[in-house]
Amino acid sequence: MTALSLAAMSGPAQTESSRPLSLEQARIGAAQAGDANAFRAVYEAHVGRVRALCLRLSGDAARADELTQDVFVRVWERLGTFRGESAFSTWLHRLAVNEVLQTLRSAGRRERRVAIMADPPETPIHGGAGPEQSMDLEQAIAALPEGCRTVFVLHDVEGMRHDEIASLTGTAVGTSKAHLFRARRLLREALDR
Amino acid sequence: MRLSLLALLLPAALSAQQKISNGFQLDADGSLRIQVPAGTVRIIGWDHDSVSISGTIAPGGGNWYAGGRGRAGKMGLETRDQSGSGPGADVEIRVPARARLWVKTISASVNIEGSQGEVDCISVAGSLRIEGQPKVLSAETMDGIVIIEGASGVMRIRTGGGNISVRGPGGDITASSVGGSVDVSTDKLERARLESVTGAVRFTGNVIRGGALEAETHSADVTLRFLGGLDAEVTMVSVAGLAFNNLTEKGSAQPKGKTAVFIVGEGGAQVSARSFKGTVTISR
Amino acid sequence: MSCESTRDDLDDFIAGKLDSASEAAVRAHLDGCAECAADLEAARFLAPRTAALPKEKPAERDLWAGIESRLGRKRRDAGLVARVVAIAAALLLAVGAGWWLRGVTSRVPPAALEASGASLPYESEVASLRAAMNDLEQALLAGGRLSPAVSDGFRRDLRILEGAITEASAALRADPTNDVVRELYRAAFRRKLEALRRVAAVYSTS
Repeated sequence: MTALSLAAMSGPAQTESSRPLSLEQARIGAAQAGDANAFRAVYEAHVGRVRALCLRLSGDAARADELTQDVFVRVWERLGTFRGESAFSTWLHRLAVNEVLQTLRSAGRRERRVAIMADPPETPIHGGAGPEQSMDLEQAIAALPEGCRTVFVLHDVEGMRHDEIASLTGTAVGTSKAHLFRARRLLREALDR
Repeated sequence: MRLSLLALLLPAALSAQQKISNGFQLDADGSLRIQVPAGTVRIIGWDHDSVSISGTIAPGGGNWYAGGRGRAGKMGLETRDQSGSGPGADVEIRVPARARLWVKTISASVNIEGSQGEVDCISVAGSLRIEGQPKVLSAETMDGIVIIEGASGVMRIRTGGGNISVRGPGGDITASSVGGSVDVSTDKLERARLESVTGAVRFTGNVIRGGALEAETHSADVTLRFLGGLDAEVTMVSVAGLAFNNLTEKGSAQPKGKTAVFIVGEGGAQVSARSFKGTVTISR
Repeated sequence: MSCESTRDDLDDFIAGKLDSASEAAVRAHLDGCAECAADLEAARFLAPRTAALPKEKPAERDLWAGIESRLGRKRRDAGLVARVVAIAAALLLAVGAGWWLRGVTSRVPPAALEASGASLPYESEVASLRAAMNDLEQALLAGGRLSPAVSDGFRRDLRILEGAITEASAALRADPTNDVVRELYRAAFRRKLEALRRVAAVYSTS
């Protein structure tokens, strides 16, 4: 039994970067066995990206924090099903998208928070287009209608394909495409002002 | 000739150095993550709700990032080098004294002064030096040394090969090393577990009434020296070495494997000194 | 070319990934279709800005505490499954070892230890635990998975820790009822397990 699980651990690394992944695998192994400290290390490594996804899909900072927490609790519950067939980050990301979309859908009828624009802008940690520009785009994304925002974030920000998005959102591929182009037009207009 | 060449090279090298100078607002008890693989990190707690960073990045040392506001912030040196052998950065970071700090380095040494918050410090080979009164302190390094001065809260210290030294008023201390020595000096110890496999364990000072001190090694010596009057129940043994009691007036030398248990003063504290084959000595 | 197929090709068109025939077709359609031209303009305008969005958006408050408080409950629920599924993992054996080693002193009366003569209680369990620890060691040390700085120190520490276990285990074999020896033996194990788990969990990015 031991040899089996360790074979998985010492097998070829599923490289998504050149970083040594075996330690992450070891941490995941420990977390799968119930080690909360190891899980915290896993959390630390991924929380920034997961929260970025939650923030953009929900358009609300407070909601994003809750969703991020929900996602990691879900990850902990589902950790036993991770078999290392894909990179862990891919597995986690997919699980996060699923979890967020499901939660948002079930809360769909609930009144949307209207504090989107009133939320304090978050300082981006990594530069790039400069804080002001990216903040404007972030706010414009947050202000998109929900369907458009979901597709725009998943397609243009997260790099998913329309067929993947369609299956996740339970819509047709054509709908996903239509949402995307509408989203882009709306964003273009919003940023023009 | 050599001198003139240096003179030519020097300005070029200096000009390739990047300067770091930035900062942001951070709540008095906000949390801050700092990651610097190589170089030196000096952190100073101050009486402002803000973070101020200054320093230099050596040529080729990487890119500095920093950001945050309110409850949290993070900063560090982004570099491809994961071995800690790169040129790194020398930074001085001023932080709210009560901020919660999480510091990680590979070879960079860390110096923290004036912190009153929670400090979590991890390094592979860098030395960690912490002065001040952090409430909770966790310091871990595989090969660096750890020096703690003045703390009296909860301390959790671990090293592989590095030595550990703790000096301060007291507190709750766990200090564990594999090959390094553990040296603790405090007058009002509440609770401590001091252990090393092949490094010596030394304690100087006193334990409060109701306090507990456990010291243990595998092959090195355990030396406990109590200053002032001790009130404790003492247990001492070395399985394959000798144990000397120089604490009580009569004193005694325990043969191998024999456990000595005796009460000093009025009892009240628990003191235990054990070794597998090192020499155990307890004295005043 | 229809508006729909033009839109499908738009991203590849911007990225310059279309072959010359398709590119010409898209270009021709765009010349005559204001709607698609507007889509192109919007996509071109947004592409660099979207790419520049930060990949990470750290929370302004600590989220871990809220997560951790919910793990305990879930962990009990998932405990059985996790144990069955992951019992093979060396790390579980490592976690379980603390429990087992505690069991030595509390569950086995001294008389039983004496009766067992030269062999230690739970000898086969200890052997499989040590084998698992060795496997874990190998997995951690295998080909460049730890940085040289970490793996050198780790190897050195493991040698020291293993030496202590070997000595303590020989002493326990010679004197199985000696509580102090048993405690030191347990402590030697605990330290090695801690070292293994720590290297797996803490020295992650190094």
